[in-house]
Amino acid sequence: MEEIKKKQSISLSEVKEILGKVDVEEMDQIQRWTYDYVSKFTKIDPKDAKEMKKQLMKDCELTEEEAVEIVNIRPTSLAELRSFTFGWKKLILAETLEKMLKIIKGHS
Amino acid sequence: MFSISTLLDVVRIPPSMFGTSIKKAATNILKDKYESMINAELGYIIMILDAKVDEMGKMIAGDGGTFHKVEFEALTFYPKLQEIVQGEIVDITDFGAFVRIGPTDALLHLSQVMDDYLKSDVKSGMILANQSGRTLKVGSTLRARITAVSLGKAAAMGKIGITCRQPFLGADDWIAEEIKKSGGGSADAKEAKVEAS
Repeated sequence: MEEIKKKQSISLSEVKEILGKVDVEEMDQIQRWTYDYVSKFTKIDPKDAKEMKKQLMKDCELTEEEAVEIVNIRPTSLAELRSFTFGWKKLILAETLEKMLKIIKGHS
Repeated sequence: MFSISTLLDVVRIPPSMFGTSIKKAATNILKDKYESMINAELGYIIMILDAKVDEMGKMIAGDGGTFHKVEFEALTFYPKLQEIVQGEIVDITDFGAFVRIGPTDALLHLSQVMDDYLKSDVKSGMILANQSGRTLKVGSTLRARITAVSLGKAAAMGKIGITCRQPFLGADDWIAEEIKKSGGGSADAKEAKVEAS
């Protein structure tokens, strides 16, 4: 059985970039469902998504998973963002939330 | 959430594959073994991306194949608890809706759709709210929070539960309405309001 060495979270646009290189005809059902899903919900290009993830991790001290969640959903208001971060069970200052909003706006 | 997982394993290259390149043979074996599989730790293994195969293999007495250590990358999806996801309704049933959230479908139970009296109309593929008049139908896109995950052996395809009964969750138009109600909510909008008053 396999051993997990590393796990790196990636955003929907990065998934689309990876699956986009494969011929749709050669995909199995799960791959096709995933490709359809990411094609539907990806709104920014992978470069922008990677940059946004890096910025969120560096400036707002988010973990990679948290940053990817924000990149995927891209909330537009402070109240929306607060309701999302509620699930992370950690204290996030209002200043940090505003910083996050600025980064999101900068990439939309 | 989607991830790229780096994994270690040992593959057996059968004698019938000795003619092909070792990387190609190992990748094909890994694809057969892992793709479309569900693992309790990794979640759904969608695709094998790349494999680095140790060229020096081992042989075992009585076995014609060679065994090679391999390090490979796989595209995986693990539905994390409390994660916010986007999805599309693919089926409506008496007890709720099935929402596609990536390589799998999650159950949005009727009690978790919204704070209202709901009626599920399976024939027309629609969930109707009595008081607010809001509807959900096959093809609607929504935002939800993952509240239950079961990827054990008991659930062959895994069981995932989601909810929309929290602020800023639900169908896209409901969220837009809620954002409007909260006055834009953004810092800029609030500042503009303060300045105006």
